[in-house]
Formats: sequence, C-alpha cells, structure tokens
Amino acid sequence: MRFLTLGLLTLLSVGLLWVLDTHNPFGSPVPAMGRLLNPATGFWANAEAQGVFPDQKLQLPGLKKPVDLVFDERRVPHIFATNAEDAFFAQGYITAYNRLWQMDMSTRKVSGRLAEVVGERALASDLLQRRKGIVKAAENLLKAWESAPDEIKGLNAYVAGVNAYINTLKPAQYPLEYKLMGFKPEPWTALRSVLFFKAMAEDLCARNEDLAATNTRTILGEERFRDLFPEYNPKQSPIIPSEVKWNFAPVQPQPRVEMAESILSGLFPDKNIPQPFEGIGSNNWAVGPQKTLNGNPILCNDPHLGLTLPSIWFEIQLQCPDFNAYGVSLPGLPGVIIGFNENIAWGETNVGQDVLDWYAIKWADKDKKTYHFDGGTRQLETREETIQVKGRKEPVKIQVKYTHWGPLVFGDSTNSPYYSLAMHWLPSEDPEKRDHYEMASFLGLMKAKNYADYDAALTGYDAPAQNFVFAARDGDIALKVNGKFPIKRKEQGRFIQDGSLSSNAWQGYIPRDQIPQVRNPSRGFVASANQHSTDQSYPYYYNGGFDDYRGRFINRSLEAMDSITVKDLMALQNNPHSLQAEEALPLLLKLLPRDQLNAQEKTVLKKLEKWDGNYQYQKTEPGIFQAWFDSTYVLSFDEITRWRDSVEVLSVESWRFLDLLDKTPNHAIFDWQKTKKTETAIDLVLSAFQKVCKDLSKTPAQSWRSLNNASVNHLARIPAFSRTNLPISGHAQAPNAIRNGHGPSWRMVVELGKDGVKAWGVYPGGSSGNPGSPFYDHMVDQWAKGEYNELFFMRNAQDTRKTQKSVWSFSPKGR
Amino acid sequence: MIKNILSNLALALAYVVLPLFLPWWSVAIAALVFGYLATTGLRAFSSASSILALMWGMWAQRHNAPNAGLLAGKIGALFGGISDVELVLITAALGGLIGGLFGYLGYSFKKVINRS
Repeated sequence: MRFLTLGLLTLLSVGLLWVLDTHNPFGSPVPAMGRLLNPATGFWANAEAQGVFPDQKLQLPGLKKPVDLVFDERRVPHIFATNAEDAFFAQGYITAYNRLWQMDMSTRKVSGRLAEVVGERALASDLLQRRKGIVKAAENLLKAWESAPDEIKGLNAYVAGVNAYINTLKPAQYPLEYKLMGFKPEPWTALRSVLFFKAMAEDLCARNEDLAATNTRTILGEERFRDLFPEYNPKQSPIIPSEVKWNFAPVQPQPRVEMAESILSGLFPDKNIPQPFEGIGSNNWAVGPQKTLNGNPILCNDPHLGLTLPSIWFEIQLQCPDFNAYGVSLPGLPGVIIGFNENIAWGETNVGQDVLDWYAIKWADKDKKTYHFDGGTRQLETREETIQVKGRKEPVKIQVKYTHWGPLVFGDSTNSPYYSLAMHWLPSEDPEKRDHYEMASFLGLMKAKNYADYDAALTGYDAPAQNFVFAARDGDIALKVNGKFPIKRKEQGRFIQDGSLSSNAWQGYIPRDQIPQVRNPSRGFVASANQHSTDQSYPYYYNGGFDDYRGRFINRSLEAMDSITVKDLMALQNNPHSLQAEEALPLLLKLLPRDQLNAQEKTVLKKLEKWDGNYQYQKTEPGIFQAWFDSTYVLSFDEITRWRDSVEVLSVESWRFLDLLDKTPNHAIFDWQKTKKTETAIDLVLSAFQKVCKDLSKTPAQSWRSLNNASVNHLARIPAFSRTNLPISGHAQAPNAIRNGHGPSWRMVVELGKDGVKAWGVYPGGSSGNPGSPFYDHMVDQWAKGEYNELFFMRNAQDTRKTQKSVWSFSPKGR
Repeated sequence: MIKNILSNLALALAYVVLPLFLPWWSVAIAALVFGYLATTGLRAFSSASSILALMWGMWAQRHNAPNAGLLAGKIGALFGGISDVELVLITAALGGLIGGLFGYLGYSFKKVINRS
C-alpha cells in the first residue's frame, strides 16, 4: 500500500514537472509553463527595469581595438571604433542584443526553416520557399560577396559581433519569444545575412502579374484587354523629368521569332500563385538650394513597408576613420541603409520594374524530366532540400527541380497545370564578376563626400532595384533609378512565355550609364514615389504598374513650393491628401443623377460634396467616399471581378477607371452583365451610391480610423505585443501612405547646412525588440502624431551637446 | 527551533542558487532533499511549499516592480487578461505546488526506506 501511494505520488510529481517543462504538452497550444513562469529563467527575467541602462565594460574575442558605444536618451547606439571592422563588429553585437529573435525569424522564413521551430503549420510555406530556390540564390550571392575583400571583411566582422553576443547568452537572457515558442538561438552565419538581403528582395521585387495578365487577356479577348490595360498613363509625372534627354545608342532587343507562338494563352484554374503582399510604395525627394529658405539642400525619405514590431529598421550611428554615418540599418546586415554623413544624405524607394518572369515548359518525355529547347532537349536538374519539422521524427525531403530558366515552383504534382511553369527571377541569377557588390554600395554611400562618390558607389548594386535619392552639402541633388535591369522587347514578360525558345530570354542588361538618372534638374528638386521611371522617350521597355497618385501629388506640391523649410517637408510627408479622391470625387458627383435621390441620400451627398480628399482619421467622409468608389469599381468591371474567386486576374488601374468614367461613360464595360438593360456609368454610380446609403441607414458611418485600422503588428502576430487601430490620418494614395499594416516605416528629413548637418527622424517602434522594454514601441504614438526626433549626430565620443545616457566600452579579449 | 530556522534558510538559499546553474526544475530536487530530511510530513510539505511560493513570489515581484508591470501585463493578456499582480501570485502558487509536492515526496521516500 505504502509503495503504491509512493508510486502514485512520484508519478504525479514527476508528471507535473514534465508538463511544466514541455512546450505544447499533448499537442496543446500551451507553452512550457514552468520554464515560462519560473522567475530565474522564465519571462520575468525579460522584464527590463525602467529608467536603468547601466554602463558596461566587456571583453570580447574577435575585436581588434577598443570600441565605445554611446547610448542617447532614445537608446540609439552611437558606435566609435578605430577601424571599420570593429565598427561593424559592434553593430552586429548591439543589433543582436536588441533584435536577435527578429533576425532569426526573418531569415528562417525566407529560407524555409520555420517548420523546424513551429512545426507542421509552417511546412507549406517552407516547401514553397525551398522550391523558389532562395537558399541557392543566397549561396551564389555570398560567393560573389566573398570575392570582394572589403565587403566580406565587413560582413564577417558583423557576423562575429552577432555571435559574440549570442555566446554571452544564458537561457535566462534568451529573448522572450524564444521562451514563448520553445526554441533557442543558434550561431549566426554570413549566409543568414545574405538571406536577410534576399528577404528584402522578395518583399520588394518578386511581385509578378504574368499569370494574371495571361488569364485576363484570355477572358477579355485581345481587343478589350488592350483597351482596359494600357501600360502608360498619359497624366503620369515620371521620376526623371522630361527635360532629361537620352543621348546614347540603346542596345536593341531582338524581335520576336516569327515561327513560334511565344506568348501563351490559357486559364490557370487555381489561385495559389505565390505573391508578396502588394505594398503601398515609398516616397523620397531632395530639394536644391534655390528652393529652400536658407539655401541648404534638404533630403527626405519615407519608405513604406509592412509595419512590424520589432521594427524592420534599427537606428544607429557608426564612426571610424573611414566614415561617420547615421541612419537606419536592417537587422542582419552591416552598415547604414538610409542615412547621412557630414557631407551627403541618401535614401531609397522601390523600383516597380518587373524582374520576375514565368516560362511554360514543353515536356519531351512522359515523366516530365526532359524538355524542348531550341529544337533539342534539355534535362531537369535537381537539388535535394531537407526540412526539419518539429514534432516529426523524420525530416521532409524534397527534390527541387530546376530548368535552365529557373526552378519549377509548383513542383508538388506533375499533373498540376502549374507544374510546367519555371520561374526566372533576377535576384536568383548568378551575379556577374565585379570588384564590389550591394554591401559595398552602402559602404560607399557612408563614406561619400560628393556626387562622384555617390555615383561610383551605386555601380555595385543589382537588386532589389531602388530609386536612390541624393543631396550634398555643396548643393548637388540627384536621383538614380539604380539596379540591374533586363533588356526586354515591348511587352516581353508581361505574359507567360514559351520556355522552349531561347529568343524569349532576357536580352542582356541595360548598360549602367544608360539607366534613368537626373542631377540638378532645372525645377530644383528630384522626387520618386514608385511611379514610372521615365516618360515614353526612354528607349527601353518598362513593365511595372504602380498607382502614380503620390508621385503626381508630390511633384505638383514641390513644384508649387518655394522658400522651403524643414517643417514644410515634414508636413508633406504627413500629408493625408489623396489625389485619387481629389480626381474621383468630382467625377462621381458629376455622374450621379441627383433627381433620383431620396432625402437620406441627399444628406449623405451634401456631406461628401464638402469633403476635401483628406483622409483624416476622425472623419467619416473618407469611409463613405471609399465605399462608393470601391463599389462603383466592382460594378464597372464585373466582367473581370466575377472571376476573382476562381482565378488570378488583373485589376484595371484606377487611373484608367477614372479615365473611362470621365471620357466614355457609355463604354460597353459599364454594361452590367446580369441584366438585359444596357447600363452606363451613370446607372452604376447611382446604384453604388444607393447601396452605400442603404448600408449607412442600417449601421452608422464609421470613422476612417476604425476602417483603415492602422496597425503595427508583432512579427509573430501576438496581439498583446502589437499596436492596433492607431489614430493616424492617411491613405494608400496619399503621401502619408497608410493602409492597415503598411505605412511609413521610417520618416527622415536631413538638412545639409554649410555649418553642419541636421536631421530628424521617427519610426513606429523602438530600438529594443523586447516587449518587456519601454524602448520596444516608445516611438509609435509620436510617429502616429507626425512628430519627429532631432537625430543626435555625434562629432566624436565626447560630444556632449545632448545627454548621454550610458556608455558601453568593448575591448579585445586576449588571444 | 534554531535547527528548523537554519534548514529553512538553507532551503531558501538552494531555491535561489540552484537554478542559476541547473535547469529551472532543480528547485524540485531541493524540495525533495529537504523533505527527506524533514522530521514530519506536515513540515516537509508546508515548509517546502511556502518557502518556494515566497521565494518565487518575491523574485517575480523584484522583476515586476522596476518594470512597472509592463511585461507581466502583456503576458497576462496572452493568458486571457490576467493582471501583473495576479501573475506574480500565480507564479508564487505554482512554486508552492511544486515545492509542496516534492517536499512531501521526499518525506515519503524516507518513510518507505526506513520501514523496509
């Protein structure tokens, strides 16, 4: 009996301990509660004491000379080193100190290693990432970076810094999310840094419309497709002003081979095309001395990305004899990506040029292992990928199949209609042999003193292509649409292409001296907002649709402005005015037949008539207009929108929609397919308006704040670690481009004065990635209000113009 | 009496020091040993339990107070809206449960060994 009691008691006690020490016990979503709650190593250890950030002295192996890290009142690290490598070492250390879990997760995601830590539910995403061949592409880019001595030295120092931090970690100090998710940090590698860079490329230049365009053309027929989807908006205000002439002999692409049908048609009856979320673009501009009040050039940049906590950006200053640069860095990469030094400032927006094309493979055998190419056949190559899955004993092994075009991304079943599609993506191409690459471009910018340095720095940069804006203390302003751009004949790559013909390959790359660029234009400013790079006089084909309202509005505003101050430009960055609404509302109002409205509808109309197109968060008009606009759009293009649930289709660009409403309200596209009557734009505008008013009679109008739900979500979407429903005015088509979880991820304004550089900035987050730190999200409210911080650009480590909060001193540990 | 106070102090010390070097559940070993050495079952249970509850509660609060409840509030929200103070108490209670169970288990071992 006694033994039995003892046995039961032992079982109970040890069993309890096992449950408390096991992550997701018995398949439940519960974390290991004992590990999490015990105050020695659990989450309590991540609760950071407020207002305390003591000085530290650390001896670290891998450093060459002592380094000082000075932290300001926002806990931005200012690093002072005696050589570039030590500066990057310290950057690696302090970035990992703040953002290790974020670095780990973002590179796991892109390389298909999530299932290893979260199990089965991430397997589909992992399989897709492996089939895209991202890791292979990263390995090739790393080989290229390794061949450039400066780059690899900087990168290796950064990696050593990250690992120096990881090596100091005891379980109690693991970042909180490791404890919640039940895994632990592993050593950082140079490959993971490159993978992070590939993650940026995937976010910024992997969107493609080949399948959607092919489907839409099949549905609509050639003539109507051409009518609804012109590639260039005549109202366009391109990045490079028209005064720039192209005085070069362009490389001529080969014409299409006549003998074969190179553009395929067909419907792909499924909706599983891997697409990055359509972003909402970014803004940057620089105004020259002749346009500013005090004659100093001013540069602004606000990149609009997915907003997350921890933030995509990490603010930092790096000083050594080679450079003294301040700005934001990406957690995982050495250097400053957007920033300034004593003499120049730079920033980026994304280029919309299409660099991902799909090729249809024609199989030469039953097993689909060889395919036709230029009259002969070629063999698939395979690469085995092993995916560890948490909770499975055996790893998942897959054979990723490569054609010479690129991988078969939909490789799960040879019977799938998608199986035969090979993906060709610019960032997966083998980099050409050069003496410097992307990382060196940023290093070059950090060191740059003038336009010539900026110009030279950018030649190493391939992808993701960016509009690099530039301003210098000597008064120069410039903008370069910079990257590696394939030469394509007109419409090449707009649709799926025949993969059996070499003539469908890209026809080389636009020579670097022929890419679109402008320096000191007569209008006194340069600006970009992801719109078309050039007008139609540029001799190379550009394919990449992106709404141009922001671009046109910003160019119009800057054109009209004079005696510009820093405050004026901050106001422009935060401007919630949508040119789309400004142009659409009068059109809708003009078409609306007023005599057919009832009393309630007339009240709503009155309200809208007074609205100015500013998406203010407190107001209800923006939401009412948006519903009216959207619903008119859906009714207008019912020929296309009814397919949305079954196949991927293109959306008519909004400028073309407004164009049709304006010029051809009787266009056949406005006829509603379901009825016998022949509708015109007037009928649709009325019907959409009445629907909106009917909805309003049932539920009261909502504020733009609750409809737009501006949010900064935690990377793992943990609600308690996220900030949602923020009071912020803006819209995807306004300079302050905010849509739900997307928006200005960093706002920066830099004035390059003769007596020194001054800069302001803010991002929706904080330097710390720890939800238990007051510096986790301390700038979110400030960001929502449109406020800025003056950035403390330190001349040297003893610079005491502002309060220094603490100093960490690193010294080399004896070898 | 003094012996009891001293052994309680030793237990408290072990509860804090062991997990600095060993896994968090090493507190259970401390409770087990304490229970084995305890004179009565009641004392094995109550001391091992109350002292671990006290240590964990105080330790958690020592993290929580300077953090002004920031993190505990967020973790509490993950578990359905528990406040930071409630989370401190839950931590203490969990300590009490582990300490008590293993304290009594240690005592029971001794009883069985001594009988046989």
